[in-house]
Amino acid sequence: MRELFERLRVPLLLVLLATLSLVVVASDRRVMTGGAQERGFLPGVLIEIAAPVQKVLTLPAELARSGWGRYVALQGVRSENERLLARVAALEEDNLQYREALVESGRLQRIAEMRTDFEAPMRPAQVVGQDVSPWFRSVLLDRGGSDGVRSGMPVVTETGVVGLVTASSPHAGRTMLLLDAQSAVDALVQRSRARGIVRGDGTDRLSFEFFVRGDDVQVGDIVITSGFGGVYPKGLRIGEILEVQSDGERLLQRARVRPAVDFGRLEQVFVMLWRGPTLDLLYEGEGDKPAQAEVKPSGAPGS
Amino acid sequence: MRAIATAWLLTAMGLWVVGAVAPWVPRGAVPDPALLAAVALGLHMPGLRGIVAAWGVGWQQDFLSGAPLGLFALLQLLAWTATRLGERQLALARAVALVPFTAALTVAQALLVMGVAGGPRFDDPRTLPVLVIHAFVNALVVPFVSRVFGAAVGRVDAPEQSRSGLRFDAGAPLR
Repeated sequence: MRELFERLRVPLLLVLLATLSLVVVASDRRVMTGGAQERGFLPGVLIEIAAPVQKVLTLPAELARSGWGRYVALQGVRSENERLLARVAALEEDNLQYREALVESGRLQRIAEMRTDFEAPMRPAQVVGQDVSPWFRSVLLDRGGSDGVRSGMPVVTETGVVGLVTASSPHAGRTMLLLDAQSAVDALVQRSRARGIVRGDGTDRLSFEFFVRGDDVQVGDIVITSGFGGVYPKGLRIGEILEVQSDGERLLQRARVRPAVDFGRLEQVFVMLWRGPTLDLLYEGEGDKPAQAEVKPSGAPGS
Repeated sequence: MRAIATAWLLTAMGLWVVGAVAPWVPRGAVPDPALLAAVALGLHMPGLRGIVAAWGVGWQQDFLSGAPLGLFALLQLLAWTATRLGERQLALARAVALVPFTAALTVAQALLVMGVAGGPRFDDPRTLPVLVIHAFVNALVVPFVSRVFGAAVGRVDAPEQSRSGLRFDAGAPLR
């Protein structure tokens, strides 16, 4: 009997651990349908260490890029640079006048509008790492629980929705991007109010599935969050309809959406320190209730 | 135990470095440190220790990834098992066998991810290039990773074996 056990212990352990993993996967996927998940001590430690390490590791790349931009790439344009220096003086005068207008109409204004529209406090965060697997689209942020960042909080930029915080440790947070195949957001077409679900499929585009035939969805329409899912506040910009794949036979129609956010150049984001009612219910009684701020669903930024 | 801890530490370092590099390079162009670690463990750490080490490697990736929790633990366990089986059948110690084996394993993992977690989508024309590049990069790096793991695990194992050797060869007890 003992010999048999000795011979079978490797396959037995293999089967046991594989089964255990499958059970965890199945239970975790159930949680993910709610939008987010809380991670325990060990995952927290790993994420906690990952954020500062990855921040340090990205420094040489940042320095190399800025070094290239400032010195190497400019070596051949020294004479042109001297001519341009003369123009700089003249343009500085104009620049002073334009700066005020830029604040009014540019990126800062969009951020200000976004903050006013949603009245939720926002925490700026930097993207310090990315999923190593090409099949999952998530990023690591340098803000965590000590900054008020919790699982289930929406992450945005001044141009639109980025995703959802799915795990956090004291000084780091992981965000599932809209592009991830597990991501689904209840959405509206801003012009016609046609309602549907925006899904990620792991590519750089999103899929908008709308249910009622005859709904008015056209190329160029802006898609915003509907607020019905209880995960994102209403009115956040998701993207723009690229192509409507209409099939007269089917009840479920589909359109391709170009995300409002350029996920390839994601550096700074804002975490909305607010959690929707659905996710709040999910974490009720777990002592993980964020400080709630009133969110006024007034409309899309820039709408 | 020290060999398992060493393997986990090496994998964690790999995951941190690759995670930091990933935003700067095209999708799929970075190697998968956990898969490579599981393959290396399959070659250099057989038995119960290898299973536990590979499972832990998968969990490390799970904690840092957006995947459903436990998915990579399962995948790396399967990768370790496949490598153990392949090591006997295909003589994976040779790079000429290890390289295509790792490329095939990368493709198999992508198919399993599609089956279990719903992605990647193979009807999307952009998936195939990402998969090909990812498999190529993994295959390119695996001999190096295998050597690193082999050296690290061997170095940690050596003192442990010599100590136990001393214990067993101490001679007959004194009367």
